[in-house]
Amino acid sequence: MEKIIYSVSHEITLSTNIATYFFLTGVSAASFIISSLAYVFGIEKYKPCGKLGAVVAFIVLTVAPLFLIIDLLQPMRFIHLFYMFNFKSPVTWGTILLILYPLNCLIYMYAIYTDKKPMTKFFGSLGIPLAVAVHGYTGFILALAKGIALWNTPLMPIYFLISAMVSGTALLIILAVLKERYLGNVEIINRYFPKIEDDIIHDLRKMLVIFIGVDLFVTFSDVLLLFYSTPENYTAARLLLKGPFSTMFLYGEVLLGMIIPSIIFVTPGLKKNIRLITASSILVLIGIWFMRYVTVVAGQYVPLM
Amino acid sequence: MDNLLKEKVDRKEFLKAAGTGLALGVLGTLLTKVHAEDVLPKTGTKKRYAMVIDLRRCIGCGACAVACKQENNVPLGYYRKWVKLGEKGRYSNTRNYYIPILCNHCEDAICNRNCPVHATYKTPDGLTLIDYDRCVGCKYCMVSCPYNVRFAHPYRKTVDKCTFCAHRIKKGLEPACVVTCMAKARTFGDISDKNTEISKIFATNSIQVLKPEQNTKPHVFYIGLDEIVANAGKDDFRYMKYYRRDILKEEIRITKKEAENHYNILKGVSNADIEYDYRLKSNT
Repeated sequence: MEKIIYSVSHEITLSTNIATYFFLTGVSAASFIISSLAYVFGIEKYKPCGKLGAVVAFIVLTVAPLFLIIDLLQPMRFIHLFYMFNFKSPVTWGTILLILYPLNCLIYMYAIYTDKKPMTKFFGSLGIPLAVAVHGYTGFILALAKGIALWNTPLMPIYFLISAMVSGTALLIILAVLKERYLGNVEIINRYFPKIEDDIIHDLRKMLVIFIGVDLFVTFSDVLLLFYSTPENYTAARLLLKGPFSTMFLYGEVLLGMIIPSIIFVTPGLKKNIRLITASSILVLIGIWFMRYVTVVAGQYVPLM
Repeated sequence: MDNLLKEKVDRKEFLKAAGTGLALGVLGTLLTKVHAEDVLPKTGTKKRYAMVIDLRRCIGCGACAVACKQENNVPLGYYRKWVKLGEKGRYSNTRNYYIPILCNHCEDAICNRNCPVHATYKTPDGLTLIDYDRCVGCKYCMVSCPYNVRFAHPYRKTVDKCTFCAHRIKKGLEPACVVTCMAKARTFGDISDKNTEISKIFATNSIQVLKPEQNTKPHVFYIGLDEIVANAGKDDFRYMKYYRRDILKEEIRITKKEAENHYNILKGVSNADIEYDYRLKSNT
């Protein structure tokens, strides 16, 4: 029988701000990739939703770094990140990506709205690897913190990318429905965003089902492998399935965010109902936010010493 | 005409200013290349400061933790080092185990590798230090550290951790925790020099380190470390809750303001504050 009698406690350092930041970069990257379906891969019918995606990608990514800056202990020192580099650190990779990617988004948006085809294609194809990198690096931020068992897995960037695709598609569905149903008469919005047919929303729904399926699989293999590894990994897995984070993980992330929406998206009677699709897209977004939160906070919850 | 001329001059000036700014920026980037040597002078030989803690001698009094707090003015509720107390066996075959934990000053420090602004750096003597003027407080090093010895200093607003009392080493003194240890469980010194006491102890005892699997090459060595006790309770949800509790609220029960007043008493007066010298020269 061995037990701990006394030790000191440690605070959980990264929390809601960081989880929200990860959520927002994910949404942005996925919107960009969906937008590129029309303008890079040339699928003509996605053009209206391509415009929406490009704008969402840019706006969301200008908001996202603010969450990082307010999370610093000294927010005014964020300027250090721009002239003191350590290229081994994923945070520095992030600094560079967070400059390049919004710039690229801005040029891409400009090219779309001025109808310059070669320019659109060039910056669109440049943007795809950038979008993958700007979200993939956040996966590496967690994966390279090697003390934390839940994060230190090669699956982490992939897990982040696929859940980003899920959240981005869900947000585009919500915005498209919002625009068509509730803001359909507003002149200024109609001038910049062409009409999005129900047909496209159903296509997005099909994509979303596939992304959720892959996300479920990645989540499953991640948690399964936690059980078959070091004691710390086993503890992390128990934390997710039985411990204080089990409600958020099992009910918030998996049931609410993945299983219920995907059932609604494939059931014949329900899947044509746009309102239900929107509601379940909102559930998906909530589920993905829970996924970010659980990954960030539950990882730090396991005692290291 | 007059306006036009003025505008021209303005543009010229603007371009000039922009050019100077750009040049300064490039120069600044070049200058901020980190030279760890400029903090502690090179002595010719490759020094490696290390600590050996003989747990057979440790009585768990916690004087080292107190000395550390006094020397470095560590705020209430935060610890640069502490003594973890564990228990093994059942009555009447039982024993207490004490495991002092501090920054391991790892040879291959993950905090150093992950710091985005090089605020954490390795000195040529093997110390891992933080430049408080560079640190932005992104807290990434805190989650990277496998030993959880870093904390966010609530009043200085940077990350902080054990420095092996670098200000004392510079004067040829030993760290405060080593000097104060009444059981003489701790030995501190240069492990690359074969004539030091620590090298002799290191060579002639069986040595353990905490978490060797993390591959960080720690430089705090233990004699008689019980791995079972060191890892005890980590899978216990109750211990997790204890480990992540708010110590000011649940243990000491004082307000944040009172804690800050406590810190301000020694602020600027403690030895570490007076002889603060962890700043990289290339930064000033």
